[in-house]
Amino acid sequence: MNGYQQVEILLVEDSAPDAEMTLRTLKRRGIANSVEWVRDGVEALDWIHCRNDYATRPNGHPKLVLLDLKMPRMDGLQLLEAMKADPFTRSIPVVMMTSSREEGDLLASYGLGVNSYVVKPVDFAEFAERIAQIGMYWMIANQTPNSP
Amino acid sequence: MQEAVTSHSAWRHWMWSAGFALALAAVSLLLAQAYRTARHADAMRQFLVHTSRVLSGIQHLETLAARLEADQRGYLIAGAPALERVRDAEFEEALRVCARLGTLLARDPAQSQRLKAAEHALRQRHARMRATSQVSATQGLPAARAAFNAHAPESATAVRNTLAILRKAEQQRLAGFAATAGSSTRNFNGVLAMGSLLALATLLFCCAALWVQMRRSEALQAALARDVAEAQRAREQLQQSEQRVRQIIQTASDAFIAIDDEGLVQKWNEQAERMFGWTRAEALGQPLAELAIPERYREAHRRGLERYLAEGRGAVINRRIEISAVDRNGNEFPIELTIWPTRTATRISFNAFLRDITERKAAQDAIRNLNSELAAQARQLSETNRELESFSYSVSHDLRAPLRHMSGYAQILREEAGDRLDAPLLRYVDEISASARRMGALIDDLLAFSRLSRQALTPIPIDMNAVVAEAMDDAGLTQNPQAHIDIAPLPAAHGDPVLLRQVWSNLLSNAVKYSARLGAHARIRVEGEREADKVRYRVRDNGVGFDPRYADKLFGVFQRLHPEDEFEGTGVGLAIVHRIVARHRGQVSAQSQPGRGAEFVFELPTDPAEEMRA
Repeated sequence: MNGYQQVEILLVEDSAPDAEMTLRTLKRRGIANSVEWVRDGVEALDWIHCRNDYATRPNGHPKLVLLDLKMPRMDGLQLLEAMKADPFTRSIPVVMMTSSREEGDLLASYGLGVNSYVVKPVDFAEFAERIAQIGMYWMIANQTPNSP
Repeated sequence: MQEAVTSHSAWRHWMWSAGFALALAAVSLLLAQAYRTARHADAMRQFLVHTSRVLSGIQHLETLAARLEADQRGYLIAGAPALERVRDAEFEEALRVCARLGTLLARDPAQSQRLKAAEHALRQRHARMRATSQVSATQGLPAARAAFNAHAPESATAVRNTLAILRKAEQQRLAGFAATAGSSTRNFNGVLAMGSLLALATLLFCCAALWVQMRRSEALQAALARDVAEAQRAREQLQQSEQRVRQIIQTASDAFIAIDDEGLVQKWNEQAERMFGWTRAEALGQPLAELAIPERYREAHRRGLERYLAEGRGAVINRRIEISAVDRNGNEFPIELTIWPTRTATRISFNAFLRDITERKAAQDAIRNLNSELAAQARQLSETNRELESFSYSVSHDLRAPLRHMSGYAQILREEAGDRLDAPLLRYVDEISASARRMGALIDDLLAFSRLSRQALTPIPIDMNAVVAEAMDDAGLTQNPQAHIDIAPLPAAHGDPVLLRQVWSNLLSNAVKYSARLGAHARIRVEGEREADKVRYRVRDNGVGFDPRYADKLFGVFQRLHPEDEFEGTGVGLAIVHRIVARHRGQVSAQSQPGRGAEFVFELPTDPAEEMRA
């Protein structure tokens, strides 16, 4: 369709400052042109499945889902579980981006099949660098199947 | 010994019987033979007597016949009638002898015949002689002589011959008899010899048997004596051990009570006296129930006894039971007892060992209480741990986010408004970022420190050289061209390699950090030595050192001896080192002079098992 731009990254993040910094970085580095930001897992699922508030969005999977762990309502692990259990969404790469370096969270995430787990650095410069790296890799180097 | 007696008896009986039979046979044989020989000798004697009578008779006859001739001749010569009379008297005599001989020879028909012939010849001769007498009377002597001589020879010869024949026959008989007598004697000698030999053999056999029997009986006697002695010994031992057992029971530290099948006390040792307050004299023969069993259990006791006697089993037999007993004064106390029955042929009795477990029960209760206290404490501790866990978790996640934002926005501000801010303002922005960074480091270190206490320590034998190499990697020092880090071969130790790696990492980073000013002249030396009961490691540097007056603060959390702007750091590194070494039950210490570098030493105790192997 004309004017349609596929959403490349779905950012699931409840903290507005974190979201702002992430979006800013992605934009300034020109990594992703189209990023959708939702604030928790429920919204994320609605968006992915094109229902409720997002019933009217154009179909199509994102190339990447950036996911925070701690969120209200449905948190990162629950969303991850839901996405990996559903054949419809299983193939979408999910990168966990979170402040927690706890072994428990790592184990749980990998147990559920997360594609990558990244710790958000406190230092902003490092943070930006890391976002850029992630974006570069998953957008350009990584291959995903065409959406069903 | 029993076996020796029975096993040979059959053989022995056979031998004995054979021996006896043989002896009997020999003796019988001898007796029979002796009897026969005696009879034979008798017969021989009789025969000899008989024959000698016969022979003497015959000789008399011959003598008489010769006398007759002589008388006749005499008569013929002299013609005296006296000689005739003599001659006739002798002839009568001869007839008498013939008659006697006839009786003697009555049983021998041949000899009787011969005798008759002789008698006949004699009669005929005498008749001739009588005839001549007549002739003489009529014709005179010379005519009688002539007539006698004319016919004389035949009748004289006949007399002589018949008598000779008779005599010879009798002599022949005698000779024959002598021959048989000789052979019979030889027989007898032979049999006698054989019999004697047999008897001798039997005697020898009996002697031998007797000798063997004597030997055996000696052996049996010896064995018997031994058995008797052994039995005696065994009896003595039994007595001694019975004595011992009685003594043991008497003085046992457990009470020993025995009752019969009616529940009356039969045995009551010293401890029972002490435990229940009844003396033995008072207790014997009394029902146990009234001496020691609390009222509420007496019925059960009685029923249990009945049931056992009826059915042969009981719920309390041969098991350890805890129950209450009561003493003379009515005080109840807990006891542990074991009951077991013993049977003799006629009676059954029940024995029991009893022990007063008041103290034990009290101790058990105390232990139970302590245990539940401990359990409560453990629960509390684990609760606290869990809280700490979630606290750390919160810290690690929630505290970092605002820090990131602070740092982030400060940076964004710098990027967006960098050209509008002059240097001092920019510095303020940078300070904000720096503070945020520092707080992040503090949080990380604090979290690490707190996690240390909760982490399990798994000690294993470790190669310290390998651990140090890994620590160097961790601290990013492997490719450090600046400082000279000299690591001597280190002795092995026993500990948690992961935690010790952290120790080395911290110590080495510190050494590098505090001697960084010396650039290429920084010297860091790592060495270690093993002692009897510990292993010691040193890290020495030639950096700025520290003031030894504040050495006791060195290992405190967040304690620093140098200003932040000279040497960055949170002050947790050495606290971590101290905590880890302490958990290994080791020691850490430091020495320094300001400007002359520092030496950090930590010691770990050796594992005793390893010591034995080494």
